[in-house]
Amino acid sequence: MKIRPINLIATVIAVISGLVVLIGYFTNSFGGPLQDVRLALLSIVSLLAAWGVVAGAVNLVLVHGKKFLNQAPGWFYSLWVIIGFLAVILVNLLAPFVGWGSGAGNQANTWIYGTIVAVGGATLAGLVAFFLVFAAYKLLRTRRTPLTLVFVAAVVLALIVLAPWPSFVPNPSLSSTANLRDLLGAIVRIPAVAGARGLLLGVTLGAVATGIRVLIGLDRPYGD
Amino acid sequence: MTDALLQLVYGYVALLIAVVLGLLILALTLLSRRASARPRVLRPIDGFQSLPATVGQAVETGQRLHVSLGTGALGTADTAITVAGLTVLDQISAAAAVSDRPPVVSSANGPVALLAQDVLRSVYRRQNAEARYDPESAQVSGLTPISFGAAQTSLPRDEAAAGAVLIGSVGSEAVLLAEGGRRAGVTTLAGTDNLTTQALLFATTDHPLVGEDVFAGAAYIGGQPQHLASLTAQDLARIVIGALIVAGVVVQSLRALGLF
Repeated sequence: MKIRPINLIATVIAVISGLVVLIGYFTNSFGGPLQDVRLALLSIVSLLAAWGVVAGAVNLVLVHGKKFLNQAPGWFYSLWVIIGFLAVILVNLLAPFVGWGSGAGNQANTWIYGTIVAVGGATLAGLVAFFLVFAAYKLLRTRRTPLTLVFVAAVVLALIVLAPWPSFVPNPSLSSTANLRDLLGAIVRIPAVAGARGLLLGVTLGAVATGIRVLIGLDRPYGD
Repeated sequence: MTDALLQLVYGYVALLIAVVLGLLILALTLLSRRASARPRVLRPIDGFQSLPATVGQAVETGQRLHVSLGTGALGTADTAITVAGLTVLDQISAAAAVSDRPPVVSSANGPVALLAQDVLRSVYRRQNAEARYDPESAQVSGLTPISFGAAQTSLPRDEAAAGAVLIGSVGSEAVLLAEGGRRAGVTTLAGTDNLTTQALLFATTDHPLVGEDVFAGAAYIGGQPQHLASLTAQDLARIVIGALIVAGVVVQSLRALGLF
């Protein structure tokens, strides 16, 4: 595959910057020029990330603007995105002149966040629970695998353990220190913690390996 | 030993593991590029086995694929999973680029959207079809997790997607993407690095990716030497770390019993 000079330069910059930041992190206590370079690089990244947010917002408006102008499916929602975007900019521009305060914490922003954003978010978050219950019900009908049965059994057991134990259900003592509920709790907790640690180990190794591939230039997510 | 010193020791052990893993990946990549190298046989992962069919269906029916990179931001702890998502995007786009309608990519972060645009552009450039590249194929769907989730509910239907793939950092809002896919009647494949979300995705998506499977996508789809080598290195590291944990448990147990 032909490698373009610009990509070669990008790869060299990425590899050197990555190594400097990584080595700098582990030699933090020694100070020196490596730390200065590391801090300078991190400052540049912070600055670029801030501009990245602006780029993201511009992209959002352009995509929805085009969708609205072309009357593409979902254009009505795009209209609301554009109205919301323009309204927030407008009230932030006006806020200092009409006595609503200045900066990101002005009264207008606080009102918009508390009355519209937080409420809308909470409503949507509330729906997640309903979608989840429906999906779990559907799972039993469409995907009957051993893994699904284990999943459902674990969910039912966890619900029994976490919910208050009804007074009419017997909870016999199994030893001097444990009863039936403790046993059920242990059945849920111990395999769950062991499984979670196993999964975390795999995820962490995967993340480290991905980072290393980028660091040594084997993976280049910034073009070919 | 003081806490600070202990943290330093842990840090250097982590660095040592990373260096060994890096050398292993490099060595295995070089070895696998030799002509005599045997092809690696991978264990089947349901999601990645079904993906070529989903991509093929999208190409044949003139529909697009929806690839979601989650709400992760670059430069944070989400960077690795986001890069894994971008690598999978590269390979899916390469397979789907012959279609009239390229994949639509959604994210919740400006720099991630810019990188996704770069990935799509490079795919078209490799195929000498740069004129067909549309920068708006990679878009920011919402700048907060919940607005991103809200956008995911209608995106598969609005874009007439044939399938939805989510590989990235995401919280409980991932359920909204799964619900959007279900309503649009499309196949959903999803994986993330967050364990709680993995459980949610297991219940809500057609093909959930569990554990480290989410980082294995590149090896399964593209099968390039560096990705296969990375999988082998991860497996070896997991065996070594597992053995060390078991040895630690045995030693601690023996010490508790006063036998060591």
